[in-house]
Parts: sequence; structure tokens; C-alpha cells
Amino acid sequence: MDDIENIEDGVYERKELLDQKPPDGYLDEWAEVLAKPKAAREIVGFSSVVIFRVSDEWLALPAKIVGEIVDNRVIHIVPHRTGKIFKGVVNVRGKVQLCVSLGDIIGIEKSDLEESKDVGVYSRMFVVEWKGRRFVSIADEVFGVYLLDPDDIKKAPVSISKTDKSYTKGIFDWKGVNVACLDEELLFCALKREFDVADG
Amino acid sequence: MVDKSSGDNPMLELFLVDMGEVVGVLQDAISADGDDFKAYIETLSHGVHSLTGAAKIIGVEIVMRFVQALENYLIAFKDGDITFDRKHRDVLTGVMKILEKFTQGKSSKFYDVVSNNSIDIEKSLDMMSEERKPEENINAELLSENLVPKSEVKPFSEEADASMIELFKAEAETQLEVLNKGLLALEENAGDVEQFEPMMRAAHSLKGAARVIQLDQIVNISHVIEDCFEAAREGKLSFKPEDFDTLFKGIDMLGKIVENIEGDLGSWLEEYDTEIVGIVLEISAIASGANQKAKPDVEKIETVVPEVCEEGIDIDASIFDLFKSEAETQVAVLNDALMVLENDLINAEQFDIMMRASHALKGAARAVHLNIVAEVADIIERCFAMAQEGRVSFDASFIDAMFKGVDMLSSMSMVPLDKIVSWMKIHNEGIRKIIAEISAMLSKGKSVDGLEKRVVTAEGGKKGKITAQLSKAKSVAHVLLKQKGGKGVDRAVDHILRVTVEHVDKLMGLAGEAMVESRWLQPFSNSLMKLKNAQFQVAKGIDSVQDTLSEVVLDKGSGEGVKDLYGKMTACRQMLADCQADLELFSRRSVNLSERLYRAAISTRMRPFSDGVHGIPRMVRDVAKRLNKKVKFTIEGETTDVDRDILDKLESPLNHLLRNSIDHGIEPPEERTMLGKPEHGTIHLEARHRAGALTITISDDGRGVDIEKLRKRIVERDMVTEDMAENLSDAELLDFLFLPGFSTASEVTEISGRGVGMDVVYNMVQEVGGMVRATTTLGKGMKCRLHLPLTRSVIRALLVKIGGEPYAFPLIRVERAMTIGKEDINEVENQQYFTLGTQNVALIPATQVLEVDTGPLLGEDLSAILVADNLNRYAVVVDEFSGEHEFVIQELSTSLGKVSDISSAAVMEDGTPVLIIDVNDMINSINKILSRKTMEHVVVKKLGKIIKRKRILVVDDSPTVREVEIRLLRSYGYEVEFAVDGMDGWNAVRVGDYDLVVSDIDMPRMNGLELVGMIKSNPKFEHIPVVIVSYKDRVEDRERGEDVGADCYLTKSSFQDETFIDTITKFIGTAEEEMEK
Repeated sequence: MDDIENIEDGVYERKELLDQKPPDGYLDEWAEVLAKPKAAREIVGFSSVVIFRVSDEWLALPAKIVGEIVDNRVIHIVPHRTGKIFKGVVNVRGKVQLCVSLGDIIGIEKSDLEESKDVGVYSRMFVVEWKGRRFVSIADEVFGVYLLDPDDIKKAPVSISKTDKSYTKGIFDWKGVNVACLDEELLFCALKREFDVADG
Repeated sequence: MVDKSSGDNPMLELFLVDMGEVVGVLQDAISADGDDFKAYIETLSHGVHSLTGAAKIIGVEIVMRFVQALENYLIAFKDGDITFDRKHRDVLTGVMKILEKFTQGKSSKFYDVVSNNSIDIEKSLDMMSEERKPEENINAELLSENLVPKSEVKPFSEEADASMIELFKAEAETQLEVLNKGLLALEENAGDVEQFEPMMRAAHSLKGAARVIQLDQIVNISHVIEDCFEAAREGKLSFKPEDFDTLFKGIDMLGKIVENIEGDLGSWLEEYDTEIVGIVLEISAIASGANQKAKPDVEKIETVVPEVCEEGIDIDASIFDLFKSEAETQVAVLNDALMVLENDLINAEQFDIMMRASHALKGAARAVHLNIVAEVADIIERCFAMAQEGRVSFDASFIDAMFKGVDMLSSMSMVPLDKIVSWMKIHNEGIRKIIAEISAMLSKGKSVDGLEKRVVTAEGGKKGKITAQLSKAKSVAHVLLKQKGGKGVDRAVDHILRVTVEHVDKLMGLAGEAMVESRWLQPFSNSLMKLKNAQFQVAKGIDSVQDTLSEVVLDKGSGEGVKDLYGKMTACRQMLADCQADLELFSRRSVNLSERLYRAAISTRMRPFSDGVHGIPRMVRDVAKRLNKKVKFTIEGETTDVDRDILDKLESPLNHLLRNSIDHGIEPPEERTMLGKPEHGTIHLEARHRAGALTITISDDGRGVDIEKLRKRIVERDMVTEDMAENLSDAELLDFLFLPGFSTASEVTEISGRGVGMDVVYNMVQEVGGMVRATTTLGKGMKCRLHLPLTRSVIRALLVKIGGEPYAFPLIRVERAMTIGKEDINEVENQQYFTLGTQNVALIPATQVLEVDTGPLLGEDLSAILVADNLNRYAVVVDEFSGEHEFVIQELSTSLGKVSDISSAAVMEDGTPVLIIDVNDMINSINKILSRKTMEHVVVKKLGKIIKRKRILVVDDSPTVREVEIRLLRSYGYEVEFAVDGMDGWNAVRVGDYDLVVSDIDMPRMNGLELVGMIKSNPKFEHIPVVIVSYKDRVEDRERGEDVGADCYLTKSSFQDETFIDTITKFIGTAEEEMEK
């Protein structure tokens, strides 16, 4: 209850602090700093990506196509349709959306590692939309948005891990981890095939 | 004189006839000498005077002025200001010549004649005015001729009252916009001849409107602008860049005047007077620049007859839509009023209604330049104006003519924008005929043919009367228009707002979500109760500690400490209680508010039932008349709210049911009298909300349906066996009526055959997820009842669990929900069933139908839902019932296509998605299961081995070729997918895991050769055999194919024989191949 009793004292002190005059030379110093011409390196051609993890693979998709990232929620199966890739329907913002597993499209197998018990790691779902088609995908972890320097992207090696590299546009290093940039056009093509009724 | 005209504009006809007479008199007058001339003056004045009146009604500017000038000229003679000498004879001869030109052409060409001779007319005008007042030549000749001279500018009269000003302002704004836009377009492209016409009209309309409220400044400015564009249209004027500035100035000035109308306009006008005059002069200079030089090389624009005749110009689509809805409304009013009038010929109130409705329609039609529509509306309006005056007598044929007119209006207003021009052309004759017919009523003639002659040969006096009447009628109409809150039209005129469906859907989605979110508060509030309890426990604990301590002596400090603690605890509990109380209140308000919001959003989809049944009383009347039946038709529940989708779909089924009733149900009047029934058969249409659903009932007191006859028919048609037919109840028998191709009438009349068309009703009802039932008593009548959901977007459903997940059955399709005890379940031939009444009903697990895993089953008793269509009834077993709920329907993503057994999705209160069952689909699936039909499936588990079919990708941009290839391959058992071009094909190959690729060569985006190249150069896919199929058969084509690595090159002729299939099998074998798994 200390705070409550002394609250009136604190107000004035804080006010004094905030109204304080800056020390001599402070303003001039900062004016100099700000006046310096901007760094020569321009952020041109940088792209934003959303980095996420499925099983033990880290992947990235252009932030442009990611709509939002939401917490895990109930998936309702759809009779006759639910399978490996198409998981069912979920409710996002009151709208019923199709839920898929991008990992299964790419071919990532469920790792034997246990679900991460780290603090702050939650499995999530994120909404992707491209050319009018919208899906919700599940992920084991979503880092968030990362500004990617195109120079950092290296070509994917022909054969390394279990995943089907044909979905990967390139690889970059992030916090010591190899992140695979996915080709969204190919992904959505695969999704389209998954759903389209076979007859033209 | 007047030769055979098409009778298009009766007023014009009259005018020309009068004019002809004047010409006759003039001829005589001119050839007379001085004294005799005086004798003619009287007659001439009289004739010309009536011409001025008629000219005003015709409304052609120049003609009006001309005739007016002539009148003044004659007055001058009468007063002795001028004497008839040689000079005047010439003038008059000129006048006569012009008048002759008018009268000699067809009335339809009148306006052409006017335009073509405008110069001469002006000249003649000049001469007349000169002679009359030689001293009053102000400024340029132009000023005095074309404009209201400054001395005669009347100050803007305040008499024009508020509503007229409102109307004018609206009109002015519209026209000014047109002018502005047109001018901008012209500025960009001065040769854009299409702009001239609309600009001319806009200026002309503005001028006319300004005249009504006597705002001469606007009249003047508009007039010169109009002249400019008329000259431009005739190719006599081409604009220079500086001209546009001047014109813009003019338009801006017009805008300013309009803005200031409601203020102190008088003084404002005085202030800007010189400026206004300046502008007028400048613009008229532009216009007159044209009069001197006619440019022969400029293409003459096809002159569109301005007033009468067919189409208008570019009609703005949104304005057109407004017109359509306005027209719908007004036509409905007209129909209703006519129906009342038919039974009660002197109902003055209806005259009023008719006049106002047709007047409004006329205005709307004018706004979209559909002059024909305006004409028809006009003539109807005039008829009723005259009827009000008692000038026209009413009888059945009159009403019929009116009906025809209204029908024509109705059809006109339903034509879509892009077809309206051609429609007008096609129906021009018909429309003219109707107008003529109605005009005949005006002159009290009853025959349709002799019309023109009648009008033509009637005496001048009578005509004069008629014209006077008409102008009076117009002013009456104006008065009525001004009257606010007048009696008559009961239907609330809705304020219409155009909103896209997307927005409304979004609104509904958000409202639904808000409701769900608000419901979270109550449970949260409840969870606080736990906290409250916990705190209570703590308080109790402290209390007991205190008690314990009181027996042990402690130092003061600890005792104080415990007391302190207790006090703080109490404070905490108090705070929590307060918070919780607040939360409760808020929660309640929030839930209340969001529910109201939700209901309001839902109701945007609703319209009153009356909106959908407008044309029906009329249709019933017409059909009854045609069949010589007497029918009394009543509607109940007009205010019942119906979802707009459903309302739109209702028209057809209702029509069918009603026609059936009239045709087959209601007996002819004589028969009814013989049977002791009233001569008039009664048909009743009712719409009502009942038990959360919309019920629409059509009942009649006619013959009813002969059940036994029906029973025999059904057996005759092999629809059921005789035994079954015996057991069918009446209701079940009547259901057969709704099946296609069923008719108990021995002959199918043109109107309907009971049964033919009834399936229309059935289909519509199925489509919206409802039901239809019929009941009948032989000899007494029949009743059809449609059960429809209140709204397509909200559904009341029975929530159940299937396989542990929530599903919803639309209540409207649930016959019963029941719990069946273990002991009541029997089994026959591996199929479980139970007995309901006299029938055995099969029990089917929902998990089997949906192909989902069985969830937890509670107990041994089964929860089952009884569903049925017309022929079958089944009991679907679910895990458990969760209760009745209302859901907002969401379409499942289009990517999924139609999912079997599922119709749509929704979201529950707690956010979980729920799938709504498509009952019809489910019944179909059950049928299939019961008859042991398995669905074609790819993977069939067989003895631990998986049989996998070979996958082939067909790449071709021609749908036909694709189809052929796909069909062929599928018939051999392969699994086939396709791509529509090279790029698509490459994507597919990378993603699809195929055993073989068949590709065309010539394709967009990436041709076949490239595609093959890419496949073969990629280590992952190079092993896939590629077969090229192409029209090209030359050696070099084949070589190219080989170069890129194709495994085989076939031509399209290979489909004729086995070549194609043989090649495929050569590479990958037959479709099925056993693989160990």
C-alpha cells in the first residue's frame, strides 16, 4: 500500500523530472548527430518475410501474403475431404476458413523431437492469401516479420535434407539457422490442385 | 394541309391544324388590299392567339417566339400603329411561307423543319420586330432577338415557392454537372461531336426550368449556351480554345446564381448584373460567329429529333437503376389504383393517385431521357386530370386501355439498360398505338382507328377547349405535387440507398461476431465468483487466526499486524464485489446491444411480403377473365418480413400455384351456383411467421383433388406398387403432385395442368431448404402450404455431435429427434432398424455416412434424428444432442466445391466452427449405402496391400482435346489430371508426382517443347516418360521433339485407334499396379 499512500508526493516529483531543462550542449550534440547524412547503404530491394518453424525446419514466406498470425484453435474436420494436407476448417475472425498443413505439402515429416517447452513458444496458425485464395496454415512456431537483404539469399543446394527442395527459392542464414524461402506460387499451385475438382 | 400522320403527338397535330387554318386566312389577307385587310386582322389575331397558346405547350422556343412576334405584329396593325403597305405585305408573305413549311411536312418532321429553317425564322422575326418598333434596337441585334431584353428582366419573383425552388435546384445541379463534364471532355477533344447533343439538351432543360421560376438571368445564359451547341451540332461552329474559357465562365456564373437562390437573390443579381450581361454577350458572340459562316467541310451530325421519338443519349447506369426502381414503384401504384377503379368507377381518390404516380413516372423518365415512357405517362396523367374534371367518361374499355398503357410502362421499365434502345425501336409501333388509343379517350372517341381523323376534323373551338384543359391539368398536377402529406398513396415510399451486397454481408458477419464475443462476458463474470469465494476463505482464515491469537498474548505489533491484514482483506473483497457488479451490468448491456445490432443487420436482408406480390392480383384478374371464372382474391400478411433472396424466388411458384387454383380448382360460375357455392370463387394468399419459419399458404374453395383418382394415377404410372399405394396417407399422396411430369388433368391447358409446373414449386422450395405440403377436401377446396426458412442467412438448427465434433441439422428438415432404447432396435439382413408406428425405419450411423471415425458413444441408447424426403424416411444416429441453436450461415470456401452431405458452415457461440448438414444429400448418401453402392475411390485397402493407380498429366490448351484424352485415359483406369498451358504444366509436374506426361506443343506461356525440355533437364523429373501429341506431322517437328528428349511423338490421329493407349501402356504399364506397402 505504499504507493497508494505516497502517490501524491510522487506526482510532483515526476513532473519536475519531466519538466527539467536539458543539460548544456545536449541539444547541440543531438542536432549534429541528426544532421549527419544518412548511411550510404540504402534499403532497396529488401523484402519482408515471415519466419516460421514446422517440426525442425525453419521456413519463410513473403510477408505480403501473410494476413495475420493467430493462436491455435479448434479445427473441425470436413467429411470426405480431410486428409494429410487439408486439415479441416477453422474460425478466424468469425469467418470459416480452410486449414492446411504447409509442412505436409512440402513433405516435412513430424520430427521425433518433443514439442518445445521453451517459454514463449506456442504453436500457431497463420493466414496466407495469394491471388484471392486464402488458407490458414498450422505451424509449430512463428517468429514474426524479418527484413531480408536479398544479398543474403543463397541458392538452395541440390540435395540435403528430407524436404522437397523444389518449393524452396533460396536459403538464408538467420540467427545461425538456415531458413528456406518458400516459393509461394508453387505452394498455391499445389494447394489449388489439392482442392480443385479434377474435371475441367 | 396535314397529310396522313402517324398520330404521334396529338398536341402537335392540333397545332399544325390550327396553323393551317391561319395560313389559309393569311393567304387571303395578303392578296387583299388595304381596307379589306383590316377585316382579316380580327380573324387572324384570333387564330394566331390560339397558336401562341398551343406553341407554348409544344414548347419549341423558336416557334413560340415566332408566333408571339406575329401576334404582336398583328396587334400593331389592329392598333393602327402600322398600316398594311407593300413592305408589310412582303413581311407577311415571308411569315406565311414559313408557316406553310411547317404545315406541309409530316408532324414527325416538324422539328427538323424548324431546325432547318431557323435562320429564315429569325429573319422573319427580325423584320416583324423592326417594323413594329424600329426605335428599340439595343446593342447587338442578337441581344434583342434572342434574349429577354434588359428592360424586361423581371426581378426574381418570390412567388415561386419553396418546393419549386428545391426542384429547380436539383434540376439545375444535374444539368450543370452535365455541362461541366461535357465541356471538360470537349476541351480535351474539341472534335468530340457526341458532346454537343447532351450539352444542348442540358442547357435547354435548364432554361426551361429557369423559366418556370422566372429566373431570367439563368434563362438568358442557358439560351446562348444552347445556341452555341446547337450551332456546333449542325456543324456550323467549331470551338477555339478561348471559347471554352468563356463557356466555363458562363457555367460557373450559372452555378453561382443557383447557389444564391435562397439568399437575397435580388440584390445579388443586381450586384453581378453587368458581369452576367457581359458573359451573355461573349457567349452569344461565339454562337453568332457560327451564324455567318457555315462550314461545309465539317461533317453534318445526324440530327436526332429532340423531343418526341425514341432513344435518348448515354444514360448513366446508376441513374437508370434509380429510374427502374422508381418505375417499379409507380407502376405498382398505378396497377393497384386501376384495380380499385375497376370495381368503383368514380373513386376520385384513385384519380388523384393515378395522376401523381404517372406524373412522378413521367419526371423520372424525362430524367433518363426516355421520352417515350414520359409520353405514355403523360397521356395517362392527362386522362386522369380530365377525369377529375369530369371531362372524360369511364367505362370498362377505358380501364382496359389504361391497363394496356400501364402494362406497357411496366414492360418498358423492366428492360435492361443495354437493351433499351433496341426494345424501343421494336415496340415503337405498339407504343404509338396505345398512346393513340388513350388519346382517343381524351376526345371521347371510342374507336381506335378513326382517331386521327377525329382529332383532325374536330372544330377549332373544341380543340381550344382541350388545350386549355390540358394546360389546366398540368397546373393541377403541379399543385398536387406541391402538396405534401397528401392523401392517397399509403405505401411508405422508401428512401433508397445503394449498398453493395459485400458490405451488407460484412456487416452481418461482424455483427454476428460481436454477439459471440459479448457472450464471453457472462462466463468470465461467473469465474470471478470463484475468486470471490477464495477471498472469502482467506478472510475466514484470518478471522480464525485472530480468534486463536486473542487467547495467546502477543506483543502489540503482531496483534496489530493481524488486524491490519484482516482489514485489507475486507477491502479487497469489497473491491472485487464492486468490480464484479459492474462487470455484470456491462455484460448484460453488451449482450443486449450486440443482439439488437445483430437483429438489425439480419433485417437488412428482409423486405415486406407485399414487395414480392405486386403483380399478382393483376395476374389473377387477367387469368380469371381469360378463363371466364369469377375469382375473389385476398392477400393477408403483406407486412410479413421475408428474406429478399426468398422473395425473389417466390414469384414463379406462387404464380404456378395460383394459376392451378384458378384453372383446375375454381369451378366455372354456373357450376358453382349449381353446387350452391357463391358465384365468386375465393382464393386466399397468406404469409405468416409461424414457429420461427415463414409459412405461405394458398387456399381456394374450389373442387379440391380427388384422392382416389390420384391414388389410381400413381399406381398407373408405376410410381409405387398397389399395396404401398393403399397404405399411403392423404398427405403423402398429395406430395406426389409436386413431382415432375405429373398431372391429373386429362388435358393440359395452356394455362396449367395440375402437376405440370408444380415441380417448379417443389424445386424452389428444396432450393431454399424448405418444404411444401398440400391438403384437400373433395368438393370443398385445396390448400398448399409452403414452409420456408425465415432467412437464407440464418438458420435454426439442431446441434448434435458426430464423431465428437459439432454438426447442425436444419430444424426445418428435422421430422423428429428421438432417443431409441436398446430394446427397440432390431436387425434384419445386417441392417438395424426400429419400428415407428406402423413403419420400420432404418437406423444409419451418421459417422458411416460422413465417413468419420466414431467418437465416444454415451450409453446404449441411441440418439437419432428422423429425416425424410418425399419417398424415404431414415433415422440418423448421432453421438448426442446439444440443443437448438440459431446460426448465421457461411458459405464454405469455393475452393472446396460442393462437399457431400454438407451444405454450409457456421460458428458457434464459443467460436468453434460447426458444419451444417445438407439433408437431401445425406438421404442420397444413405440410399447409396443401403443399396451397397460403393463410391469410386482411389485407394482400396485389400489384404494389407495398397493398390495405387498410375497418374498421368495431360497438358493441352484446347479443352476439347483435353477432354478426349482425359476420357480415354480414365476409361482405362488411369488417374488423370490436366494443365492448361506449359507454365501450368511445369508447376503441376513439380508438385504432382506423375508417372507420365502427355503434352501438346502449341500452347501459350510455355510451349510443349520447352516444357519437355525442362522436365528432361531436371534430375528429379527426367525419369518421367513424356509423350508429345501434336497436329504437326512433319519430319522436322518430330526431330525437334526428339531433340528435347521426348520419349515419343504422336499425332492427334492416334486417338482413332489403339496407338495412343498402346504407347502409354508401353511406358508405364496398365493403370493398376500392385505395390507392397
